[in-house]
Amino acid sequence: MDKILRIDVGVSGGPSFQTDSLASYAGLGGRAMTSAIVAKEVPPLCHPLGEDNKLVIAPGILSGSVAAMSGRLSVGCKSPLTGGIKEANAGGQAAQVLARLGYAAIVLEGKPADDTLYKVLINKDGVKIIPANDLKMLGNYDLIDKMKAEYGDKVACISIGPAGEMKMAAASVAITDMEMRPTRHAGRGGVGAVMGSKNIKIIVLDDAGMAMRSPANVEKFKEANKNFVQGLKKHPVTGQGLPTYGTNVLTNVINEAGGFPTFNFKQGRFDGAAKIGGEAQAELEISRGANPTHGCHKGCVIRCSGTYHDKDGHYLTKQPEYETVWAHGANCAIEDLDTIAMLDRLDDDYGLDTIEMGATIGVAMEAGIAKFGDAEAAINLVKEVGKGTTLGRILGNGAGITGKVFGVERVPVVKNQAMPAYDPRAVQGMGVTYATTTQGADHTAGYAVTANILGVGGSVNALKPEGQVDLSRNLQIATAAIDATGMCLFIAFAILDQPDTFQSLVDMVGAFTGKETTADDVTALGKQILTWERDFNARAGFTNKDDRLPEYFKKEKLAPHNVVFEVSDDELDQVYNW
Amino acid sequence: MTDSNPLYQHTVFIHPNMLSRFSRLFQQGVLVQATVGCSVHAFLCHQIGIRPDYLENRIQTIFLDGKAIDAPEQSVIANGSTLALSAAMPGLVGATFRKGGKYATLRAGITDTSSKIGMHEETGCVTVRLFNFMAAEIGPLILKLGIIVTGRDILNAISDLESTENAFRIDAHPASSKSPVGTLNPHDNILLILSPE
Ligand code: SF4
Repeated sequence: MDKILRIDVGVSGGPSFQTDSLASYAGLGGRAMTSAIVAKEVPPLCHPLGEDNKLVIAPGILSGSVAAMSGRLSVGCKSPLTGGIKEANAGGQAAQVLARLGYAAIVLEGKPADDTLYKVLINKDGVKIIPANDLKMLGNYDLIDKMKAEYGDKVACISIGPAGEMKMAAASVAITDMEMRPTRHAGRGGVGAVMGSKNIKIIVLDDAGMAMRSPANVEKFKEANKNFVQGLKKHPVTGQGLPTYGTNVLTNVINEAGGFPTFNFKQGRFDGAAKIGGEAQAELEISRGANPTHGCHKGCVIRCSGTYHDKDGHYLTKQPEYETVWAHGANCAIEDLDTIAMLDRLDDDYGLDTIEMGATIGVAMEAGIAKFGDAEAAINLVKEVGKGTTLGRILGNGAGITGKVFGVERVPVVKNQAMPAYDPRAVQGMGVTYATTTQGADHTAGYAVTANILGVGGSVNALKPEGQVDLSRNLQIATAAIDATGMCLFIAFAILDQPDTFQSLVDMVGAFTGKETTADDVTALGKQILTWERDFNARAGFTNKDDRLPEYFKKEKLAPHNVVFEVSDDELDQVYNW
Repeated sequence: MTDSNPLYQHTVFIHPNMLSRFSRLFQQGVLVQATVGCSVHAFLCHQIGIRPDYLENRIQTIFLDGKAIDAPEQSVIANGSTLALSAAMPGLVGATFRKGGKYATLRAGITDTSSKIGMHEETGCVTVRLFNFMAAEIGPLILKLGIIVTGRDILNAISDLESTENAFRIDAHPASSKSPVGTLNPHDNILLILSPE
């Protein structure tokens, strides 16, 4: 991973490419790489779909090696949804393959000279950029079938569906999984629209003939990886809960807590939760011959992603994630798993963020475009997006735009990005992260529950209200650092509870890079990433006024606990105070 | 009516191999007749029969009336309470709901801090919800005490079963052509209880 591939789509006669050395980006991976390049090279005031924005795709520091769980791919740019910096990441095979091909990043830049669509093929022999107008407006599933027929089923693909081509702000970038299905998505912030604005439909990665990336200290690395895997396997969440039920195991629990946003964030409990929860989902999957325990990339030992079959036992989609089940389920009062799975399939095929789409349909339902609970109407609304009708184009640009167009006040967005599946009135600490993250409302921004082990920012007094701000800050720092390694964030549970597993991770990074690594280095990296991102956003015009939840969260009480969001603006402003 | 308890009209005994059919009921919540006015710890360990080390280590999240609790010895179950149990959950939010977790402050607004110590013990009803692994692991213990469900709950759980013979016993009789479990009135309340293997 010693080079950066830059594809300039603006050259007359069609895109051209060059391979650069890493220069000042040496040693960076994942979110550290994408945010460093965007912060340094993209003018913050540029139009997100214009000439000066860049789409940066980067594997993590450990991707392409045998390190377990190291297959996350980061995709960064200036977001068409938020107008700020964006990093969206996904599993799937692409990070491993890209890293083995030796690229620390692919950068798409410039403005296309005409409307020709291209595919990019990268293999051991180099890079080819080929006109591909025959792929125009293909859904991700048909697109990948074509690639399979042409390049075989061992390649990995990074692609956009029709939503990306139509430059919708909810458009995702799809990554193929181990079975070469386009099921893993860098979903948030409209990264797919930026790829669409560069007229690149798909990047096909073929690592045939390339070796695994090897660590600087082989023996130490092997030992650390072995201990790390053992730690993941023995922990009840990573070794048992996630493999058995997937992330949707959270539905019943968050619902019980009264923090499961229902009817477009009107209440915190959904009567139909048990019907769509992970327990019911896993049972249904098994009864139809699908598999709830499945890895999204080779080297994943947690295996939280599963498969979902239709009533006839045929593959329909991946196992819908907790966020998807909430967004398309409870938030729209839909209690039918088959409907939710169909919506997941459509989102993946059109290339759409399931969280943004579910939240958007919730807003549309509140506006009276469809009735809450109307499963067929929800499916039809997503189909409108895929077809690009006028209504579809409004919905495909997210909850914020939809709320404005239809005059809805209750629009659950921060920095114009839809909130995920935890109501911030019930889980106020999550609200702090939603409000202050550089990314727009994002649950993963403060996800890595490693802060106390890292000792980031000193110890936190959990009994004081301001502890929520301190914790959110520490969690955001730790998360940013993990996002740089290429590690799946779900490792966080094991390293929270098991200091020896955390130590194995630090040892693994050290043995791989050959540089002594400490928890302080990890903290410094996380802070550096957030500083770049925060600085970009400030230059893009964001102020502390943007670090706020919508007003109604402070005024409308959430049943059943009748709580409002109570963290003060002054406290929110302390998050970046380090 | 064959039982004198005012809470239910019939008793249905189920064979242990039918247990998994009722796991959805545990997620929705089942009614248990028990002594209330005691601590959550006493309810779980002394009445249900859960080992204290299991409560300490395996049950990571406990909600009492929708509020996360940190000290099962101090929170008191009242008549009509709902108690929900879960193993360790993923995600930051999963971690915030753990009892006594480092991240408990993130859900401070919905933590049960009320002190009901001093309430007197009496017979009452508690709704119990068992999520994820809890249904298979604790469900059998609770079914030994008996849960109160509706006839419809039972009919739904066995709707695709070809024969209920030997699987159930209604009141004193085996489920046979004379008292088929399929003829339960959906609106009746039933005490569902595990028959000894
Ligand atoms: S734990 Fe889940 S999301 Fe993470 S790498 Fe494995 S399958 Fe993918």
